Amino acid sequence: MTGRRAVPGVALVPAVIAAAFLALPLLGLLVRVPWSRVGEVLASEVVRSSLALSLSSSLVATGLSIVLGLPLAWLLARGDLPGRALVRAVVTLPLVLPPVVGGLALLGALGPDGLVGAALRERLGVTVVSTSVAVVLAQTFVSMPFFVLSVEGALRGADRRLDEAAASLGASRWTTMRRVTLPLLAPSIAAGAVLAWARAIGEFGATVTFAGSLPGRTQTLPLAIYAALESDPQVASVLGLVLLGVCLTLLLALRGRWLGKVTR
Amino acid sequence: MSDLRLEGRFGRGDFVGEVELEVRAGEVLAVLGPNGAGKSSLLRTVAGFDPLHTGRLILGDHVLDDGARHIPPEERRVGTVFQDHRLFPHLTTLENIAFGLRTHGWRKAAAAHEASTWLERLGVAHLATHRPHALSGGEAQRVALARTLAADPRALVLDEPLAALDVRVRTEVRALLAEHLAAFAGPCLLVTHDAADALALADRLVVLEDGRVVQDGTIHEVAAAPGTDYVARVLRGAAR
Repeated sequence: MTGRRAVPGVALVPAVIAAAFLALPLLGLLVRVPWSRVGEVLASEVVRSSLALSLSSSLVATGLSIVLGLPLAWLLARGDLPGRALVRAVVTLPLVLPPVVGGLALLGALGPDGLVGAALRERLGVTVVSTSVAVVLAQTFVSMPFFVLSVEGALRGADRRLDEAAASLGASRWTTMRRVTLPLLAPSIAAGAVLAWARAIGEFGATVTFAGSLPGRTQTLPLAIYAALESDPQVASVLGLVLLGVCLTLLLALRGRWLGKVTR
Repeated sequence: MSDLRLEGRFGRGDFVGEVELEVRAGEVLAVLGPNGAGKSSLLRTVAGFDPLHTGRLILGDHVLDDGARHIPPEERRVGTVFQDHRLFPHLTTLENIAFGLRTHGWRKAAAAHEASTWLERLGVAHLATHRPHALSGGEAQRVALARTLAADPRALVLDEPLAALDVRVRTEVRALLAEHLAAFAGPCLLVTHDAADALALADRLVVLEDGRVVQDGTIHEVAAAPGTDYVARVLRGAAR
C-alpha cells in the first residue's frame, strides 16, 4: 500500500452531505411513527387490503414485465428491426414521463372512452378502470421499461462468441437461447426484475389517475398512505413503515442470492 | 466420410478473399499465413458463421453454401475448435462436452456417459465437475477439443488452437492434437500462423496471403521451394 487515498478530500464533504440527505428523511419517518398505535393500525382492514393489493399487483406487474419484456429486450438488442430507435424511444418514454401523464395516457387508451377501452366496453361490456386490473396495468406501464432496458443492456454485453460455439455444436437458436444465453443472463434478469418490482410497488401517480383510489379495490399502500395523511397522519407514518419494511425485506433477501453477483 | 471443397469469394467488411481448395477425408490441411491474410475469415466461412459471397462450399455431397443458399452452422456438423476455447462458463466440464451430444438428441444419462469417456480419452477425467474458470489454458483447450469431437462432426476446423498456450503446455497439447487429428476420419482444416503447428499436425499446406492462396503442397514441397519471403521466413523459423 502506498498510503495514498483513493478519493480526494474535496469529494468528502459533498459525499457526506449526500449520504445524510438520503438517510435523514428515513430517520424522520421512524421518529414520527406512533409506536404505541402500531399494533392497532397493523390489525386494521385498510392495512390488510392495501398491503395485499400492493404485494399481489406489484408481483403480477413484475411477472408481466418479465414475460413480455424479455422478448422485447431480445428484439431490441439482437433483432433486425426497422425503426428500432423509435421502439427504444417508446420503451424509454415511461421512464421520464411524469406518472400522472402516464395515467392520463392509459385512460386515453384503456379508459371507458379510450382507443381500445371503448371497444372493450361496447363489445365485451368490460371496463378496466377502478379495478385491480387497472392497478396492475398502471404498474406494468411504469415498471416494464426498467426491466427491458436493463436486460437489453446485458444482452448487448453478452458474449456472442458463445453463441457461435453453441451453433457449431449443433444448437439451434432456440436451444442456444435456452441453454446458454438465458442462464448466463439470469443475474441481470433478476436485477431488472427487482428494479421493476421496486418501481411497481411504489407506484402512485399513474395508479391514482387511471385506477383511482378506492379502498379495498384499487387503493394500494402508497395510495392508502396519501389518503391517511389527510385523515390521520399517524396512520400514514405506520403505513410508510410497513412499505419501507416490505421493500427492505425483499431487497435484503435477494441481495445475497442474485444481486450480489451483479454488483460485486 | 467425405471431402471438403471450397471455391469462391469470402470475407467480411472491406476484406474479400478468393480461394479454391480441397481437403480430402482424413486429411489435415494447414492454412498458414500472416495476420490479416484472411485465415480466420476463411475458417468462419467454412464453419458457417459468415456467408460465402459467390462460389461453392461442399462437404461430401452436401452443398453448405453456394453464395445464395446458406446452411446455418448448427446444421453443418462442422466441428470448430476456437483459439479462445469458448467453453460455456455456467456448465461443468462434463456438461460442456455433453452439450453437443444433447443437441444431437442423446438422452441425458447416455450423453453424460459418453462425455465422460471423452474426458478420459483427453486425459482430463479428473476435471469432470470443474467449471471452465477453474481450468488452466491447456486443460481448457483439451476440454474444448473433447467437446468438439464428442459432437461427432463430419469435418473439423481449428482456429489457432494452440496460440493461446504457453510453450511447455503447447508441446503437450500439440502431441495430443496430432493423435486425435490423425484418428479423425473427415476433412480437417487447421488455421495457424505457426509453421511448427503445421509441420506437426498437417499433411498438406496452403499459404494464404491477402486472401489468395500463394502456394500449396506437402510441407516438404513448400519448404524446399518457398514461393514468397513470408513462407521462406516462417519455415526457416520452424526448422530451426
